[in-house]
Amino acid sequence: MDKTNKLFFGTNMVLLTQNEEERYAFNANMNNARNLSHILKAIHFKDTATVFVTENGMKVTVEDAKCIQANAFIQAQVFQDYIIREDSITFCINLDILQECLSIFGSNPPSVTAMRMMYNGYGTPLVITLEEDGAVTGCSIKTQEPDQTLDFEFSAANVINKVIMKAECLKEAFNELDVTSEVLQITMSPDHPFFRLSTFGTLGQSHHDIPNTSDMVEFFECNQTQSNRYRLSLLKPSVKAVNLATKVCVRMDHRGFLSLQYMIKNENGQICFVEYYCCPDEELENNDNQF
Amino acid sequence: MKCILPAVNVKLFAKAIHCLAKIGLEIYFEPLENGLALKTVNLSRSAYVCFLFMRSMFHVYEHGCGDVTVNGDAVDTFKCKVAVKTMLQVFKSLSSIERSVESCDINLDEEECSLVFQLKCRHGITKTHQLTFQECDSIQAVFAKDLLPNILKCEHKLLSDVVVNFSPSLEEISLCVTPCRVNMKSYTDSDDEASLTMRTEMSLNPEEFADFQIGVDTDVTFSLKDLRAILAFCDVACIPIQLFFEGGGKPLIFTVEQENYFRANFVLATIANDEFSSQRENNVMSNTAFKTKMVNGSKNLQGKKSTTKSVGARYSRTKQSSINQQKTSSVLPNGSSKSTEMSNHGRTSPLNEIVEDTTRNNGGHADGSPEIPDQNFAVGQDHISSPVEPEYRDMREVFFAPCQNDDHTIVVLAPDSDEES
Repeated sequence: MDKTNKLFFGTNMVLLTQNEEERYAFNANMNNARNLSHILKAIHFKDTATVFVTENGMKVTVEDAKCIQANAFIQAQVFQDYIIREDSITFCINLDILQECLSIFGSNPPSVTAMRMMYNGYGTPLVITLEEDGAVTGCSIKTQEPDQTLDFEFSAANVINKVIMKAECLKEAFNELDVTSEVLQITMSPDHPFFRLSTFGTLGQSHHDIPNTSDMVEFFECNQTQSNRYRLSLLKPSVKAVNLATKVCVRMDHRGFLSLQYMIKNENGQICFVEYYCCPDEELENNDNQF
Repeated sequence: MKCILPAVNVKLFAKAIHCLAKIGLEIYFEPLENGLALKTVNLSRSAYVCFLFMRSMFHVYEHGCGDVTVNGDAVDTFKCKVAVKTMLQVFKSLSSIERSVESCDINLDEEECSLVFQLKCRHGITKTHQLTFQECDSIQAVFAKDLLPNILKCEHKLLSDVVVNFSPSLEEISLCVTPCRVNMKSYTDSDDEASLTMRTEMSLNPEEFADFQIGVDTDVTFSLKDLRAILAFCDVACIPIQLFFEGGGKPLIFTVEQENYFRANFVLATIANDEFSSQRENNVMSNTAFKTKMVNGSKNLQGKKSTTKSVGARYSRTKQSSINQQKTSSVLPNGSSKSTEMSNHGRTSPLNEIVEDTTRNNGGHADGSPEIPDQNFAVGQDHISSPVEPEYRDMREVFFAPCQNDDHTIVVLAPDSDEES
């Protein structure tokens, strides 16, 4: 049944786009729209997203408060067809609407929606055609002037501490965070407590320690003790990502900037990455001076 | 105070916290010599819960407060209270606690002013919670359950099966006992139609109880929400539940106990049964005269199935009846005819009826005879003949001594069974 769907979709698309295909600057096709919507869910904490398309794939960026940035990378291989006629394409789009379109036929596992995505350059709408069981929906979403995205200048060379662990243990920790706390303090150190998440809420302090010897930890490289505070309200959206992920890489650079990389497997078993960058809270140093 | 809870008991402890959280806003934390007591009382002071986790539940138990003794009595036992939300933060997810926690250290350090819960989990993960607390005095409900005339004991499942049938929005439930049956029915105190549209009632046979001692026929009405909280706890503990009570306006005590292990006392206030309320109750009773038939039916069922109690318990569910009662006036003719029928059947003399009307409570308490239901019907009929229904009073008995200062003291008055060694 799946096959016939694709056939139908294929022929239909050929008729539709035989001459138009030339025109589109970006034209991609995916058998299962959920592969895209699943990843986008992990970064969906603001309405507006900036989309970058290159020949390697698609990067969708969401930012908030100039302090946090989430990037979702969807490699070209995740698409069944992927044609780009320019070096790179950048546009802004309403993520809410995009997600709604992608799940227009519902988003429950048994059904599979095929999708084609087309964009014809600056000022044109993003055209999405979705097909399931012979029913076709065409969507046209207006694109916006691309925003300047933040550059966190986070480079692997400056990374001081790095831990890779199974998402499962971080999932539990993130979901149990004391929401009354304003900040989440992340401590990474070569000695005890190794990796610690701390909250300071109205009800008391909580620490969640994961030792380097834990079988949840796959890679542990900490060179010096670092303890930085991050706004919990900014990091909270990454709970969405951790819930979908299988592995997480936590890195901290010399300035205390945090990088959280989530490895997310889609239904075809392909691996996609979602990355969160977050600025540390300056308050910690002030606090240290005070007490 | 310092203690360590092994994995097997952490869930019970967590469940107790969840139960306390359903009732009160603060958990009173009292390390005693024989174990750790957790108590709470709700805002309206109509429900009090006390869990006592005995020494044997812990790997290590150092209450560390009996060091200072005066005349052999430990004084200055450090007590504190913690906001329920704080404690829930520690024991938020029961499923993850069951799955991963290997032990739980509880550490109360007066000097450091910290109450520390440390959960040691699988994969070497440690969760440490340093909680803020308030120093306070002990609270104690005033009750002496051993002196109460009515005692029921049953598997919690029996009560759970009953309670599940009641509407989630129902606030109060009445437990009516006589030596030959136990009825649980929905209770509504307002006259608005919505609350009267459905009544639920279930009848249980004495055989379904492990222990059944009824010294006084009585009705007690109490909060269903609190009962649900108690039963949710029993679900984990899997041990029988005991009820001790006397009558309306006097506390109803639920006890869940495992010898030398832990004990939980739940003290619930019951609605005071004044004359009006009993009349009203009786009115309802007479309106639902077929109930007697239902009970008889159940007896037959029980007779056949008397060999297995659990089967009996299941059958009891079929005895549930919901009665559509619209307006009192519209039901009255119907009800009155039924009650007449019943009173002809049971009543001995009209004199009896009048006497019963005024001294119903006392009479009931004194003889506890099976004639009571008939007398009740007689009262009901008497009531129906009067055109105006008296204003119903709903008073909850406050069984706590008044509190002088909200922040601190709750006066201890009770010969409480928690203190016994």
